[in-house]
Amino acid sequence: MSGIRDILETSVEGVLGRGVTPALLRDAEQGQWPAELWSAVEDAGLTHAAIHEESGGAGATWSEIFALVRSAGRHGPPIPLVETVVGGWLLSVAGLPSVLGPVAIAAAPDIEWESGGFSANLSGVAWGAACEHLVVLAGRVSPRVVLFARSDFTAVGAANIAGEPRDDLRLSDAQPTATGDWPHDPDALLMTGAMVRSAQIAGAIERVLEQATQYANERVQFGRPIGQFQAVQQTLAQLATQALLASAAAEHAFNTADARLSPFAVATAKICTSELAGLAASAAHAVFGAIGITHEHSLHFTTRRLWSWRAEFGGQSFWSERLGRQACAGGSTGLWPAVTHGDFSTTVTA
Amino acid sequence: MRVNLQRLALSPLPSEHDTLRAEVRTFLAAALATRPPAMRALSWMGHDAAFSRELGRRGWLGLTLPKQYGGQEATAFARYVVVEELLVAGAPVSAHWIADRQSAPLILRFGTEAQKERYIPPICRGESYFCIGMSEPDSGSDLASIRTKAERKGDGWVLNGRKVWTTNANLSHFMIVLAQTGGAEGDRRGGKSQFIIDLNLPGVTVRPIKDLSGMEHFNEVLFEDVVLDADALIGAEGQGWSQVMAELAFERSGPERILSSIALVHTLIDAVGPDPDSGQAREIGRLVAKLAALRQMSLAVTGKLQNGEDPAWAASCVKDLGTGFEQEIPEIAQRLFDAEPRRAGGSDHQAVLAYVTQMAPSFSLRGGTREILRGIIARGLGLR
Repeated sequence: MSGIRDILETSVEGVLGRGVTPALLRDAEQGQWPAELWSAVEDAGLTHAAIHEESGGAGATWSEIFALVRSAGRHGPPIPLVETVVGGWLLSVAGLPSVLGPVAIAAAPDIEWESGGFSANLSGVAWGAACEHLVVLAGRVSPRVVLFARSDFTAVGAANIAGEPRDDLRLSDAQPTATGDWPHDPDALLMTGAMVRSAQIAGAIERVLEQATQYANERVQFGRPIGQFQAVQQTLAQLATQALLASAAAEHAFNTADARLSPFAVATAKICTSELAGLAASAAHAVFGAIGITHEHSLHFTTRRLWSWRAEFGGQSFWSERLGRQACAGGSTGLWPAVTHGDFSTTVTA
Repeated sequence: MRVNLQRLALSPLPSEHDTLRAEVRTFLAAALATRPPAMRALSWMGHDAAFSRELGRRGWLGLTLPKQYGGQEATAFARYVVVEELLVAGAPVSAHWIADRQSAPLILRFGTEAQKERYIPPICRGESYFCIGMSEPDSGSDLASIRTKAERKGDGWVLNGRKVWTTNANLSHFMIVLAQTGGAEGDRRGGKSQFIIDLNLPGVTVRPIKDLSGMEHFNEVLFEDVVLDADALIGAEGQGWSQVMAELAFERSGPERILSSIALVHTLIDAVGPDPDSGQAREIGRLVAKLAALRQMSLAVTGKLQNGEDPAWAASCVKDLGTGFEQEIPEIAQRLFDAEPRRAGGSDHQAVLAYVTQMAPSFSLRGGTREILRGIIARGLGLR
């Protein structure tokens, strides 16, 4: 693939491979901010991957960023790396200057804001309390990107199954730091969020596949490694196919996003990876047996993320209902053209 | 130890094939205008020699093969586009199916110049049909245990044995047979060779086997002292096992491992109608998403074929997932819409439901069973 993609992947693997340890993950769940890890990620230029070069970023395209996000999914760093990449992209496309520090992102499609104070309740915002800036994509009619500083809102802490902050934010007549018109789909943040979560899930599935395969080769029962038993091999083989399918679905969404975020490809990616997340977590735990259930073991850092990420930015029911309604509206003759074209909208109106 | 994590790089379909796709679609819309859904449901089991010759005339067979043998020298992606359009439309492709997919590529790769000149051009014209002689009554998944035997006699060979579950043997001109040709005791993979058998030769008996649906897709083929010329041998003597493994890779990743139940997807969507309840919408959305994602995986394996990389492991993954998807569809149809399957009478949806429900178990058997594929996948992970 392209040079930038490989450079980003090597860089993120290096930083997260060294920095994200079980001890760090445990401390983060207790509320400790991993300042060193954040600095390492920011210093490596990873947080600004999607920002245009003229604004000081790497100017990477989504297809180039895919491997970075998948790696983030493998390691599960307890920092808003992926959210900051998306936030930087929103600012950059809206023509706003980039910001330093961790960024939280939130969609507010129902708030048609033009100027003055901004009031909203935003729930489940990743690292909403810990961020330094908040990027909101507001409105549907004339969508705008609105940037706030941390001091502009209050936050009530909440967390997903993995202990990652998913905070509830309250903005009351807040004055934005900067605003810009959003020239694309008003659903862009929802779609981008679903797309990055699908790549994170793909990375996390690869991680549990590696862990479970290694364990099956080491753990001895009945006098031989359990990986020599066909029953265990069949489970791991299924897990391997799930890893490939998740990655393919996610990567395709990123590849198509280079031209334009594709509602079809994003829905496909999130529906498939969300289902595979549950299947893969269950297969990995089956291989590990009781030790994998313990808090001491590291497997749960990945499986608890799988169980969380599959439901964020729209879970299976949200995206599959949306896609299914389009499919039914298009009828049997609309289906295949939509699959090959990667889009229902043209066939539905035709 | 290090885990052998294999990845599958996506291969976007080159947009240059859009024109080809449009041409195929336009042709099929006219050619199949009156083909009923129950016939479309036959998928690659629908047989029509005149249709195969028409595809040959249009240059849509042997797409990847050299022009000197009647091919088009197009990419594996061009072939993918044509094949998926044919399958989605439910076109009757069975006559040329195996010859176009694997026999011609096998002959091109391992055959002598004379064999290529003799066999490939009529395949590209849609006139010459092949079947696969691998399974035997006592050798299904354990292919290495075959007993069909070719012994040298004079310049040629004499073939004895029995093949079974041979799709289209009753409608084909040739079979490529895997047979024992000697080799050391206990060497399961050695001592095997492949032969091209003219099914009209004396000593060859083809007996159709009725399947549970009452149709005769597969056959038993008996070889009794069948006298073969020296040039019946295809490839190198003793290399039959590796040739067969290469051949199977062509068989395991194509669109036919995703689309076998597409006719039922079509009638189901129309049965549910344009205003589904939320449960129906979710199931159909999930189904569309899986179809689209599996297609990307299958295309990625096609990219490997196109680049000359070994597709065997990834192809096994596609086949395992893809056939699972195909088999889910009649189950989903039952959950979403109340319809009794009908072998005779009934609506289009009821007829298609009846056929696909009965055929679905075979999807994960043909071309290597699910259990065998998962064994291959596990070995690829480094499990022994």
